[in-house]
Amino acid sequence: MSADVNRGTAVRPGASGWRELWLKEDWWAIWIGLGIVLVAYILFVNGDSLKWIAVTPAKWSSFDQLAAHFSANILRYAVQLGLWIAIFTAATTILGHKPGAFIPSFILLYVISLIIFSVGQWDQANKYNLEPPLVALLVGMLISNLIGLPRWLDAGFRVEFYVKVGIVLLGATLPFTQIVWAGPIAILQASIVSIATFLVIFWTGRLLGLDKRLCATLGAGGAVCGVSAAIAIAGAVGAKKEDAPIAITTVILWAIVMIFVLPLVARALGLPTGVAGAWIGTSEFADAAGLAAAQSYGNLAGHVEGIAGTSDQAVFSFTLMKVVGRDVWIGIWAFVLAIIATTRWDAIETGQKPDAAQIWWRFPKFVIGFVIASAFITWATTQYSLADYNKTVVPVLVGPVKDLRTWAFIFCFLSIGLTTRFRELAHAGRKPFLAFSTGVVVNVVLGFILSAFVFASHWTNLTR
Amino acid sequence: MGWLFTRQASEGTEAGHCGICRHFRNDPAYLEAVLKGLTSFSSAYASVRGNDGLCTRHDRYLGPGFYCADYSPAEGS
Repeated sequence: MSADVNRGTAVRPGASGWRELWLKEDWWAIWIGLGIVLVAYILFVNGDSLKWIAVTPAKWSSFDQLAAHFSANILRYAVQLGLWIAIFTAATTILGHKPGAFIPSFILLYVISLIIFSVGQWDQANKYNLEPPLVALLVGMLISNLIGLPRWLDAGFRVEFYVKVGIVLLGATLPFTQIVWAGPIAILQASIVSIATFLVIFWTGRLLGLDKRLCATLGAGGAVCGVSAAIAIAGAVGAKKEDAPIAITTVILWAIVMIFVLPLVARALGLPTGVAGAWIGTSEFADAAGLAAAQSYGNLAGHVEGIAGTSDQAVFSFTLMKVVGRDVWIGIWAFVLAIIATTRWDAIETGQKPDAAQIWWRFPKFVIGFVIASAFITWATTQYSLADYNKTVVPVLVGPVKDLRTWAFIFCFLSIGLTTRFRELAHAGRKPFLAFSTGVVVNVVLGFILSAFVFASHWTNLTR
Repeated sequence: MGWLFTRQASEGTEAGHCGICRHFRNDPAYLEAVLKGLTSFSSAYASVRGNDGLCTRHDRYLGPGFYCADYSPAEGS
């Protein structure tokens, strides 16, 4: 029977209370992310650094160079792997996974990630479009769909967990002033696109004769935060058992298409990285998918002629748009739709009293870690001039955190591929797919207009 | 149709909500096994799910605060 429901009636039905602090991945992402940032800071003020353990493959042009790098740094990689295993195993074991399944699975994930990371550091990688996020995704999908892995290995392929840890670490590399400066525009832009997308999907679905609860589940999947939004809204409105899998299939298919299409179109149009990141943040459907697309495009800066901006700008504008602009509102969407479902839609077998507290229960808590990490590092480094910051703080404090963030994202991108088994997805059906696709068109076009024209100067100048 | 909803819903009791009903399953591992594709871009361990789960009686995916006339207390509730 259910393991994480609240027994008894003293606690409100939807709440986990304090148990959420150790029973939800969001909180573990905060503990791990902020823990790393705090250790990095303590080492920094004591004249030391996380640099040794935050090792990454170096740029190389021959296999001899690559071999020499690994030969010289094998101990650092071994200790880093040990660190990841220790912290992730502790977290996932408390969440309920078996360490005996998680550890071998994570070792496999780390080894493949290391190979992909190394390929991305080849000096000819850009020439052949070997962007690590895309390579990780493709390699993962090839393995899971053509070769196949034992099901128990899924224990280590935790897409959401790794992306949340990465986003908290990302906060430490983004000045808090940028969140304050760009946040309101991100919220405005994302709100316009989210509401338009939801309404288009919902009403197209209704015109096609789909059930209101399925339309709402699909609409939220397209408008807010993909699969996570779809299941949140399905739960809030009491959708049919098959509605959530239909939405999941539709979101996955479009999210994977967009990982490749959005950077490709942005490249063809020569969009600055900040603008492309904002567009991807508005028009992608899942955090992990969008980060893969944004990071791929950002990596082109400085390597492909005509693409202005920095790699970080793409990732920062994406994160602000997707996380601050869209994700944090899921609880409000759920509450409002629960009220509408209760008061306006056809009755179902079960009833509910919509509870405003779900705005907090469903809040993606990892965002708190992202904001705290940003505020903390900004506060801790205020006394440095820009020159000193770049010379002293970046290589010793921010750089290693950024390198660990890159690792977390590669684990995430590879896990997407390894967990996406197309033949196992539910059959979505023509009508739900059509309704969702109509919303995709509106979402992509509107997102492009707002990112590349209306707020273009805003996103181009992010972090400058 | 709101009146109909209210009438039907009132046949259940809020005290006997889904969260403590034997027909309700919201174990994250179970949900990840049942909702195919969920782990590709999300997780049953995420905050956004709250404590939602599946009603095996009515084949609905819903929150633990729902209630209906078929409520049957789970063991230990």
